[in-house]
Amino acid sequence: MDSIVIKDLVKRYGNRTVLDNLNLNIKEGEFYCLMGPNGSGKTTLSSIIASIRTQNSGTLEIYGKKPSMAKKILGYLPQENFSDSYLSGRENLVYFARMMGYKKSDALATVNDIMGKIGLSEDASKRVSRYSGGMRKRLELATILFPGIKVLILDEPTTGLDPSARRNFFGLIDSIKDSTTTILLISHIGSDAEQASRVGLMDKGRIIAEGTPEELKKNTNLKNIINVDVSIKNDNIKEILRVFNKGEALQETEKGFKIYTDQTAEVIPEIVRSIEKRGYKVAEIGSVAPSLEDVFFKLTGKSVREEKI
Amino acid sequence: MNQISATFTKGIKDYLTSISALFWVIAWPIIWLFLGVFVFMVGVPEEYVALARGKVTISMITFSFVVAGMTSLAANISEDRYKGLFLKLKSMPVQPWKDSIGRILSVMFFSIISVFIILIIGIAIGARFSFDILDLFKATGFLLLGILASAGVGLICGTLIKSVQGAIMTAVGIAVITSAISGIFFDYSLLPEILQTFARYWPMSSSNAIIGYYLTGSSGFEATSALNISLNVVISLLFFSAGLIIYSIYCWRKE
Repeated sequence: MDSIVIKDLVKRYGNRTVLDNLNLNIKEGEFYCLMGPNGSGKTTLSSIIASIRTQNSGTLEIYGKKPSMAKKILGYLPQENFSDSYLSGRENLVYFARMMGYKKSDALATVNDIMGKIGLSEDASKRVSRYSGGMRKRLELATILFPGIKVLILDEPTTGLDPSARRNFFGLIDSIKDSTTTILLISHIGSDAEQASRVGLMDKGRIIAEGTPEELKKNTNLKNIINVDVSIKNDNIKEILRVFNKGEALQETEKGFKIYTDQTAEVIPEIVRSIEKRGYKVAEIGSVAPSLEDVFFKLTGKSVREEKI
Repeated sequence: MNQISATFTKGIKDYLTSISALFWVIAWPIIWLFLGVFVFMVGVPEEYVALARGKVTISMITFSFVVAGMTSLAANISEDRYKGLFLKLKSMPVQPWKDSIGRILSVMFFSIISVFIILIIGIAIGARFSFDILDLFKATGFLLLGILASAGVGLICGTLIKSVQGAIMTAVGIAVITSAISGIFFDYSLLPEILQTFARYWPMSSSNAIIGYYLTGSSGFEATSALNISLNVVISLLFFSAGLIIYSIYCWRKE
C-alpha cells in the first residue's frame, strides 16, 4: 500500500522551476530518503507534502487524501529549531499535543509517555534553553510521535548536530520504525541517507536515481575510492590527480580530493610518487568505501554538499 | 477550545518569563508613576494631589497596555515566525483563528495583570478616584477596547516586519511616540491644536481620556460625547480587525 503518491508535480517560483514533473511513490512503513544538494527542490517538496506550500500542477496524495486533509496523520519536523526556549521540554510538548487537539489531562499523560520514549524524562522540567542541540532535536522529533501520526517528514534533522548526537537521533528513529509508520527523510548528507531503506537522489527538481543504498552504488559501478589529503590544494595537484581519475572531474573534499578507481593497491603508491615528484606533500591517503555522496557525484558531476560538516 | 487554551497558556508563560516584557510592560510604567507623583507633581495644590495622582496612574495604566499590546505581541509573533513555529503549525490540524484568539487573550491577560499592579501601587502612593460602579464597568470596557486596538498594531508590526529586532523597535517607537504626542504622558490641554485632534482620534489616547473621565471626572475634552465614544469604538475595532486580517493572511497563508 502506498502512503505517499506524487504524480507530475510542478512547482515554480516566478520563472524558476523548482520541481519539474516529479513522480514519487512511497510505501507504507518505508523509510525513504530524498537526498540532493541545496536548491535541488527537496525542501520545497517536503513542504508541499506538509501542506505548507501548494504546487502549480500535478497531484500529491497521502493515503488517498490531499495533504491539507491528511494533517492529523502527518508529522512534519522542520529544519529550524521551533521549540520555545522559555518553556520546559514538557511544556513545549503539552503545547503541541493540545494544538493537535488533546485535552489537557490526556495531553499530559501522552507527553509523559513520549518523553520516556525519547529519553528526556529526567530533563522534562528543564527549560529548553538549557538543552543541548541533540536534546532539542529529540524534543522536536517528539512533536511528531503523537499516537495516530503515520507519516513522518524529517527535513534535514541532523544539520548542526555532532556525530554523537546524530547517532543518537538515528537510534531513536530506529526505535520508532514499524510496519505502518512511513518516514520521509530529507538530507544532503550521505551517511544519513544510508540509514534509509530506499533513497531518491534529487537534482534540479527531479529524481535522477532511486533504489536501496546498495543498488545505487552497484548501478553506478562504484568500487573503490581513494581519499587524498594534501598540504595545499591547487591546480597542479588537480592536474596530477586527474590522470588517475581517468580524466574525469575530481571531487573535492575538505582537505583534498577523491579518486575513483578499481585498482587501489597499485594506484596509491603511484599517486604519492607523482605528487612528491612535483614538490608537494601528501598529508594522508587511503581507500574508502563509496558513499551515496560519491554516487551523486558520479551521476551529476557535482558535490551534494557545499561544505563538510 | 484546546488550541485556544494552549496558545493562551504558552503566551502567558512567554510573557511572564521574559524579563524584557516584564520590565517594559510593568516596571517601566511604575518607574514613571513614581517620577510623575514624586518629582513632576511637586507644587500641586494639596486639594488636587490625590486626583492628580489618580490621573497619572491612569496614564501609566494606558501606557502599560499600549506597550503590552503593541510591543510584547509584536515580539511574540515575530519570534515565533523567525524560529519557524508557523511552518510547524501550518503542517498541523490547527485552525488559525484559534491561534489568533489565544494570542489576543494572552496579551489581554498580561495587560490586565500589569493594570492591577500599577493600580494597586498608584493607590498605595496616594492616587484617588471618584466613580460609581457603572462608571467602573464603562471604564473597564474602554480599557479592553484600548488593549484590542493596541493588539491590532502589535499584530501588524509582528506580521509585516521581517526581523525580530525591527518588529520590536518599530512597535516600541510607535508606542512611545504616540503616547508622548497624544496626551497620555502630558495633559491634553498642553498639546498644540493639531495634536489635540490626533489625541481625539488615536484610539489609545481616546480610551485613556474616556477611562480618565469615568474614574476621575475630567478628561480635558468631551471624551464621553456620543461622537467621541462612537469614533473610539469604530477606530479601535478597525485597528484590531486590520491586525487580525493581516496576521491571518501573512502568517498563515500557503506559499
